[in-house]
Amino acid sequence: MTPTTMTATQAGEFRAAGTDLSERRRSGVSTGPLIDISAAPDTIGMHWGAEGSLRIGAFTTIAAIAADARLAAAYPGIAASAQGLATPQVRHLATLGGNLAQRSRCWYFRNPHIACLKKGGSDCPARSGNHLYHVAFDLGPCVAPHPSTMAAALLAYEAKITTDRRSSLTIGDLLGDGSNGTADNALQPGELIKSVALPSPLQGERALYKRAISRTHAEWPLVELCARAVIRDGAFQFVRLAAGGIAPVPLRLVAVEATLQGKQASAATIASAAEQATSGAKPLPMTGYKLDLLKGVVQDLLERLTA
Amino acid sequence: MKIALLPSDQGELKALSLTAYADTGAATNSTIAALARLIYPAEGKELADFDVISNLPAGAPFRGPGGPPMAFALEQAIDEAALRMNVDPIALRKRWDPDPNRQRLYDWASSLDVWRNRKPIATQSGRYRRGVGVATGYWLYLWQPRSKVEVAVKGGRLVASTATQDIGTGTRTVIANTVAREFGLEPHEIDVRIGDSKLPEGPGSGGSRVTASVIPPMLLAIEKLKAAIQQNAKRQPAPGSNAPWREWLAASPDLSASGVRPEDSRQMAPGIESPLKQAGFMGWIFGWMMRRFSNLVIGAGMPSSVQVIEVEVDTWLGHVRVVNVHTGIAVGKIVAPALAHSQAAGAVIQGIGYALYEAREVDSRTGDVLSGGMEDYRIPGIADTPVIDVHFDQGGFDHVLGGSVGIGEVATVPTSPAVANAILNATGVRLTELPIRPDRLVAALKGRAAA
Ligand SMILES: Cc1cc2nc3c(=O)[nH]c(=O)nc-3n(C[C@H](O)[C@H](O)[C@H](O)COP(=O)(O)OP(=O)(O)OC[C@H]3O[C@@H](n4cnc5c(N)ncnc54)[C@H](O)[C@@H]3O)c2cc1C
Ligand code: SF4
Repeated sequence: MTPTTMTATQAGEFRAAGTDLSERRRSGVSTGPLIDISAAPDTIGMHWGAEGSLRIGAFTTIAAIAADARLAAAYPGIAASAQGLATPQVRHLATLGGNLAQRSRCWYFRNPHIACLKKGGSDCPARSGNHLYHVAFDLGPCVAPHPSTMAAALLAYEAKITTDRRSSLTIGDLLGDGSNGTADNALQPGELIKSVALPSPLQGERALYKRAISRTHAEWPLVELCARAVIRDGAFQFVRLAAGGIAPVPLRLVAVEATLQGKQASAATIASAAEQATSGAKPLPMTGYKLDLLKGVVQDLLERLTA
Repeated sequence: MKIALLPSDQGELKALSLTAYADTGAATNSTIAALARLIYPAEGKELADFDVISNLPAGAPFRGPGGPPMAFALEQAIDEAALRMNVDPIALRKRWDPDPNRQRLYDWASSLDVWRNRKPIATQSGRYRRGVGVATGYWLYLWQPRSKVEVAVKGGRLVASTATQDIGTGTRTVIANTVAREFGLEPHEIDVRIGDSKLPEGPGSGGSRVTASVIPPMLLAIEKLKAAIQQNAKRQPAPGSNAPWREWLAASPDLSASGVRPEDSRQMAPGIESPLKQAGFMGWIFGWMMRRFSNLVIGAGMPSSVQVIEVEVDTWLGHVRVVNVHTGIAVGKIVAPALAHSQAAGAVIQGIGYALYEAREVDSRTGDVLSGGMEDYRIPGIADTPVIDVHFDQGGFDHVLGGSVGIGEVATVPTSPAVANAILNATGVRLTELPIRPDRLVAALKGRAAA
């Protein structure tokens, strides 16, 4: 019996590299049986399709994604996101599947002495309490931003996820729309992420990733953004922007995308499009600053993409 | 904190008022405003400290308790005064702060290229703006009476013993270096025995008191031991020996000598005096009480520091990068240069953490600490560490036997106001809340109050 097939009959929490799970178990936030999972040939590494598409096994480490030259050439936004997250030590161990399925980093959730919606409690103490690092797009009862950097990048690339039960899940299918405050994702109990498929890149597309943080490295993003664009004859022919750190799920910045579509790539267009980044925002009392940072990272990446 | 300065028509400092409310949690005795007593003399000073007591966990003071918050307020106020009076901020400090140790540091600071080449306030318009700020710090020179050091020859090796401890600050090295230097040996040839209360009474590790408490008695003990060795040695060193003490030691029976911390000399350099003197009779009483009940003496002369800091501000993302720091420190003779250098550099790094990152976040209703781990309690990392230029001004403490006082606390006091003054120079915006996080900076740049 391979480890990946044990899950259907047993209840418990999967453990991949354990970089998220171990801390929760040590603090006592997470308890109960564990199911160690490990890679099979089709759930690890890069599997290139004939037409230049890519399937990444869910057990591939973030460091391997960050270091893959062919991936970096085809999907620079994925590579840069992987390079920018966490610390070298964490990236070395952490798996792509674990990154997508990791639990919230909300400091109330992570505190074993405090009840909250995600731990069977009846309300969200962050909403009325200290939510300095929480959402600026208030889309549901839980106000913790989704922690996965890779999920935002994969959203920008319109990736599809395959589990042991379902296939062709979008990031939206996998993580939900933010309205369910009790879960960090929409996986069924015991459902295992096996791989992530990326459609072939567009002709001439460029992509970048950026996070706003207070220190230089090794800090959870206040706001992060993965941006892709195809610019032809000086005009935006294609734009995809996906932001993390601002909502219970990664968000496409559709208003910015729509403003730029077909427009000449000038500093003025970019500056006015960046203003659209906050459309639909509903900041909390302490998170209004994230909207400034969001506009800043949008402008930063668009300027660099068109430079 | 609330602060006000009143310059006279002639540009002198006439009055200073500072009121501090400290979030002490379940504790009392914050000393913030009181520390403004001992710098920038003025005709009138109104200084008041209040403890705001709550059920929150006690806010334990860190390096230089009360010093960094006092400097964050006072040194920004001085900077603001210089700006409004249209005087160079270092020149104004030279005018208002007669302390001789700091006068020398001001001369050094104003000669730095980074200071001379700084741009006028808020003259840049791009996304990234650079600015340079200056700030001053001081700490008390404290020493502990009755501190005793024994220096002995045991089996031909030198052993120095005192009941103090090394909490990572370099006490062992200070002791080993001093003994080694006096005998012409290498520090690793000296056995240092500390961390045992059965040893001769030594100083506690607090208030930057250790160096100034152990070196003078150690020098006395060394003098006595040398005489005893020369008297009792079985043979004399070879004539013209280039390592006579090595030979004396090899020929010496086991011997020991000890010294007790002597009073400092009353012969002081011009302008150096006990900080308590300014406080008159009250100061005398305070000094007597400190010695009687805390076994501590506030000595003459002030350990001082002046920092010139250059920052780069990303005005879009509210990110501050400290580019380079020049830290000038006057704590007398440097006994352990490598360790003093890392104390000075470490103090800057810790000061940057205080300025930009560190904050204990609590839940306002329950008081639960939310930032209880290295992930949520941010301290600087390697990439946040600037180029640090350390300048030691080694004078000012010749009245202390050995000429050295402690460096630990004074080195970190001015960092946060120097960073804030540099941000003002770059952007025209003055940040009065710590830490200076992106949320506060972008709000200030937009003229909004931060949440
Ligand atoms: C200091 C620090 C900084 C960090 N910064 C970032 C950051 O900036 N951005 C970011 O995205 N992350 C960040 N992380 C989080 C890190 O990326 C995750 O901990 C890691 O990706 C989780 O992977 P893992 O293999 O260790 O998962 P584990 O800890 O083993 O598992 C995590 C969760 O996912 C579930 N799981 C694991 N694999 C699967 C699977 N194949 N199918 C279904 N469920 C699965 C587990 O049951 C568990 O609930 C940071 C972590 C640390 C410690
Ligand atoms: S934000 Fe979400 S995770 Fe945090 S306390 Fe509220 S419900 Fe829990």
